Amino acid sequence: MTPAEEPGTGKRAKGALRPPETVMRLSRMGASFPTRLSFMRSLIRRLNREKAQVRRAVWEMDENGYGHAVYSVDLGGDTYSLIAFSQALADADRSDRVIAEAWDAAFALYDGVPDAAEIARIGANVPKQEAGRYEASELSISRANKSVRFFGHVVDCLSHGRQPDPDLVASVGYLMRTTAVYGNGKFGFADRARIAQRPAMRGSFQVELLNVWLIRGFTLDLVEHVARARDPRKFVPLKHETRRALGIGNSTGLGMAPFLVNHPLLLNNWAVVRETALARVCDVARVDPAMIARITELMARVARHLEQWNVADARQMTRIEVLRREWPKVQAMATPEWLGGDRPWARLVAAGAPFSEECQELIVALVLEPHGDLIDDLAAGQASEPGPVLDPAMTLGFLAAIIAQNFDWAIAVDFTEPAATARFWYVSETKLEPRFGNRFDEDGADRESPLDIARQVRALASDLESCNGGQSVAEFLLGHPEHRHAARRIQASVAHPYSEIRDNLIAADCLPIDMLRFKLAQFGASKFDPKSELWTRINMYQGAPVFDDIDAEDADDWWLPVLEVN
Amino acid sequence: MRCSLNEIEMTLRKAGRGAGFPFGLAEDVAAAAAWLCANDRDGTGAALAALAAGYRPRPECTFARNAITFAATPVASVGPSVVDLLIAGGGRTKVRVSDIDAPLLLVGLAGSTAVASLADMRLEFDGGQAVEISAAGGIKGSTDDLSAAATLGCNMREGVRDRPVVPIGGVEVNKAIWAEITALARKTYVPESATSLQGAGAGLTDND
Repeated sequence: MTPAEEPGTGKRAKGALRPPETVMRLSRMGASFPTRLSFMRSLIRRLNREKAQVRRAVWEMDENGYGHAVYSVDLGGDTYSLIAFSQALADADRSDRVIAEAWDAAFALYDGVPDAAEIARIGANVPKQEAGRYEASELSISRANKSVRFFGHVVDCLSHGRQPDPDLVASVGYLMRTTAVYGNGKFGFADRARIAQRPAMRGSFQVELLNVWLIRGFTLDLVEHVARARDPRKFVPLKHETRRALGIGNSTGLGMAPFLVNHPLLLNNWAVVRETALARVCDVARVDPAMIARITELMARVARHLEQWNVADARQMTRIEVLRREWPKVQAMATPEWLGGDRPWARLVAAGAPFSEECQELIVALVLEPHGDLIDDLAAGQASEPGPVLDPAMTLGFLAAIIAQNFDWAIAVDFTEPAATARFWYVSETKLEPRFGNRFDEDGADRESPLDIARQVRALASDLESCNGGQSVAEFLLGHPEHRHAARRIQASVAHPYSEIRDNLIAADCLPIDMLRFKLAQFGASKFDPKSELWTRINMYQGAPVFDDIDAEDADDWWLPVLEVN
Repeated sequence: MRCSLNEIEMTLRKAGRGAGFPFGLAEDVAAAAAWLCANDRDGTGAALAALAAGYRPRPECTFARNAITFAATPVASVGPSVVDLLIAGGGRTKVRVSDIDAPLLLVGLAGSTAVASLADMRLEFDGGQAVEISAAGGIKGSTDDLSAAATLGCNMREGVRDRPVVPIGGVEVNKAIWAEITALARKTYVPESATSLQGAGAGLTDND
């Protein structure tokens, strides 16, 4: 088997990477934290580097903040425009569920600058979201609901000449939350191929996250507009610190989970990039006092961030409380003297082993943070690539050897045990929402989505036992076409060893929330706020620059934001 | 109507499953259709014709030295294996196919595999029509009125596969065909029930 390659380079990664059997377990993926290689961070760095200027070309809003607006920004030589529509919404219709049919606001990210006719065309469709139909000029669509009480509070305060309550800013953290962000050809809009070769858009989810960053700016403008309209004489704008402290919320459900299974090479690339970055950092022999001071400052920030991270979910809150007990021990150990020794980052990562997986992953994110010069180039490898390709000439003996080496976790599952198949993934007829059912209590298992990778591999391995090892995969699949998908994935694992979540995703104890957390951390989200094992709220871009300070020197310093808005 | 290529491929993957095909075959049929659409052919029509024929695995075929013969070729069921055997033969093997139910989709399977596996493909249809597909993604030869029997060969190339150039404005799709494809895809969806709602995320109202 070949070791992992640095994605997009064809080069073998340097140093020892943490193995996939460690990092691709669901429980560890569910303990992920954002890093400086997270996609939002990469986008903000590019916006900062290019000193991007956001222009608000259209603002046609009534006193209640209902109407439309257009923002345009140049990036990498192309112009992108957010077209935002805001409307009145009855409380009874305000749902973050995919099955909702109306929202406080709806958005399209447009390739170029739309004229009035294009705005009108999009305005007739985008408020309907999935029920609308789009053109290839649309790159991404989204919608958002107000954080009703907080939005009202901010309007009330600003219109009376006051700043909002800092405690509420800290506890809510956003004015609106998006409930879905679509990209890549959905509902007729642009295929990723349209923008995939543009330098600014090559990375993962850059177009969707540009959409979200612009939406966040729109929410700040909207709340000030409504407050100003209420009482122009007393109105005060939000303080700069508060603007930065307000991110954009997001409710994320199961739609994200199948994505990770359906894009194995992308999953591999994300993991390899992070692990390669960690290996590079752990290779650092010694660090200077400035670096020690920086990491000490970041450790203190982590502690404050943990204090401000409070959720209602009992499982996550318990984990946060464990972290709060563990982190002071990390700080106590990592003194300037201790960090002044040889290979400090390798020792720090190793020293995290007795702590919780959340703590271990937090240490990983911590040590990456001050090493932009060393690792930021790796972000280019996070992009997608064509999917797995079947090698029909491979012998079955070789295929069996790959299974033995890379899929022992799947072979070990006894699928005759009911608990091993207790759950199933499916797509609901209602707005095509992915769901996670109970196989023995619910209908629909006959329409199961093929996310049962462990079971598929196990079935293929069973049929291999009666085959001649010299036979080709092509001949085997001629007689066993039902194994075609699994065969392709198994082969892909040779060059992409991080391509599979190494757990049984239909087991009784599978927690989809772990998949969501991994993906959202890759995006760069923080303050994970699980509402069940199936969905979570998060905050995106909290602490990140806003439109008018994207060129600031500290534009990249918003890892694990801490709110200090008093 | 105009669809994106991703929309075509993703919907056809579901349609293949809805028509009773294993996911791996559905993936290949979908990729073949998208490749045809990207090359200005009726990929959705070809895929629908093949899927409508139903899943008919384990065909009758004979192996001889550097020659494999299929007596019947239901393309959605067998076409991926036809192309597999061609690639596995490393350019030395010819595959003879007869009674092809969706010849254009077979071209699509050869096309999508040519790009992915770095192989130049040649399909010689009975009656004199020849279709050549380069590993770089180009296609030569008419694909109109293809006959139901052909001989396939390939040449393997060295190097790194390129991303093929694809239309960035989407492609036109016949509305009636698309309706049938989405109807097949719908067969993979589970009807709403009170129990199924519990398997979804988020609350029903979110006015906090």
